Amino acid sequence: MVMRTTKGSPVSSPTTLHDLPDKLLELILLRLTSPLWLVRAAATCKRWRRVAANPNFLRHIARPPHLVAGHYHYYRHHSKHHPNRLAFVPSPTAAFGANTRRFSLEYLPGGSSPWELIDSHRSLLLLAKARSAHRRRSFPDLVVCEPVTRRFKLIPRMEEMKHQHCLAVFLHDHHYPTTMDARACSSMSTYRVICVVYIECDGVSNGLGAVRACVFDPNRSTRRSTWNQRPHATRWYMVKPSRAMARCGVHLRGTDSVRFLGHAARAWFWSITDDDTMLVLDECTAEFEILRLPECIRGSELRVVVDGDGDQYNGKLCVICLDRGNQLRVFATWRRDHGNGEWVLEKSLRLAAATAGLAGYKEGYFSNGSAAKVVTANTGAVTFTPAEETWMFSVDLKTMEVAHCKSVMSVAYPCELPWLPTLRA
Amino acid sequence: MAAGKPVVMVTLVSSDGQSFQLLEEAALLSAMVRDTIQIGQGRGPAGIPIRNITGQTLSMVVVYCNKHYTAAAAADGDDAADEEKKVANKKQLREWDEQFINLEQDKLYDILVAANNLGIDGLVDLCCWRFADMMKGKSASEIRVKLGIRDDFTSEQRAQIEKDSPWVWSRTT
Repeated sequence: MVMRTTKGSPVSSPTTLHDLPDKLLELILLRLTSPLWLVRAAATCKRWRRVAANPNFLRHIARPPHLVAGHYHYYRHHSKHHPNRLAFVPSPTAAFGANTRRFSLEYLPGGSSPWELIDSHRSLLLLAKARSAHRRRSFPDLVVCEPVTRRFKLIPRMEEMKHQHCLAVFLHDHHYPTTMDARACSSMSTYRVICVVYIECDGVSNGLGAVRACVFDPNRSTRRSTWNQRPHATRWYMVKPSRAMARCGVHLRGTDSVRFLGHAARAWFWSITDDDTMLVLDECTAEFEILRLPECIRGSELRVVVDGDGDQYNGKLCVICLDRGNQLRVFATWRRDHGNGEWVLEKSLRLAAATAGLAGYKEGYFSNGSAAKVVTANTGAVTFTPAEETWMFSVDLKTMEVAHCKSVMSVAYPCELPWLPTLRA
Repeated sequence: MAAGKPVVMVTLVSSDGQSFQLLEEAALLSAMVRDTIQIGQGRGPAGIPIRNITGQTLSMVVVYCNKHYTAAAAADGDDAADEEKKVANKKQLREWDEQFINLEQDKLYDILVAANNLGIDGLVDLCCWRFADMMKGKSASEIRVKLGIRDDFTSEQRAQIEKDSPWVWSRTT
């Protein structure tokens, strides 16, 4: 028997993994359950790279659930502590240690300072060019970038809409996870940007307007586009209102009459002031719909909408609202195809009583009838502050436990490692 | 073990002429043996010749088949109600697998190829997991050292890899 050390060189080991048929090599690579491991294995030699980069192979790989590299914290206001406004905080489970240089956005045109971070989706970030104060709500010039691979794509504003109010801009990936083939595509080619604009109705004096969705799709063939036929046409197009929406004709009274509530169950939600409805924008169709609120919620202030069951999509969403007297209630409901429009009260909590024992709590919080404000929200927890002054505490949506948090006022955008990893044979 | 059934043995003959006798039911874990017996061959005293697999490797495969056959037979014999015992047995078998496959690379390689040729899915799976475990948490160059792979990338390719996925060279947990 040939004795071998662990550092066995090709000479002393007549048979190695390298000699295996491709089929067996694939079986081994399939068992590398983290993309980090797979990408590293594919960087060992030409043959392994060829096997791993084969789309037929990549199709068999299940997406691992969480590959969050870290969070970009965006500080809405300038401060001494955060001169850059944008900071990357690696997640403790990621493999980068303190090396966050990879995630710097200085490679964007003009560096990172002219850009405001407004959304993230998987490995991509969406940034808008900073606008002067009086144009703050106009249609922005945008850039989509993938920090890890240092790629970016500038998206000039939609010229036709430049004078309209822009309510929100979102980034999403409309292929994932419905088609298998899309999983082998690069993340930079499957995203869409959706911009929600408010268009004032002509000839109506009392400030009535309508919301429309404008979509930027880098893969959309310009030939199909009915909106813009010019040869240099950008890939922006406006989504026609669905028949149901056209029939009920939703009109808003000014841009201040809607407030963004969050993303859940593959849709974005807004509350409409003085109305018993929510405005819903479906992620896939980019069409609006109206969700009627049940009797039990009317009159209380809607604050946040979050996914009901984490990553697993079952159409469930949780609507968190505050009543007079700051009683927090969590209602669950299900979107169209998943439920019959029922609303279930899942949890409730009196904020004043629950937070009274926390450090820094002051007598008089939550007392004057104005509802607490939401700082950030995700599937697991919501961070509130009383309306009186900034004093943050989080509410765990599973246990309804409250905890004081010291974090600064920033919005955190998760950024994942690209999946599938870019592999070129 | 099921009593009263006639005991049928088959003989597997390795490429270097060594013979291994085992219960037919244990040998049926191999799709290749299954096919051979189905077409009415291999039951004779000459046995089933296994090409390209040496006696040393085949002996290991036979050990694996015997163990897994006995475990499956024991599980069948048990009362279905005893869930706890079943879980414990499964755990025991998994531990045995881990011990069994804790081998040096060249042997592991031979067994993987043999299991693949014989069509023993469980053993193929086990070997692949073992190889994958050797790579987990290692950087590209560490994998090369561990498995004896020669780096044959051109400098352009290396630059491209570095650009596409800059983290490949550093180590992770």
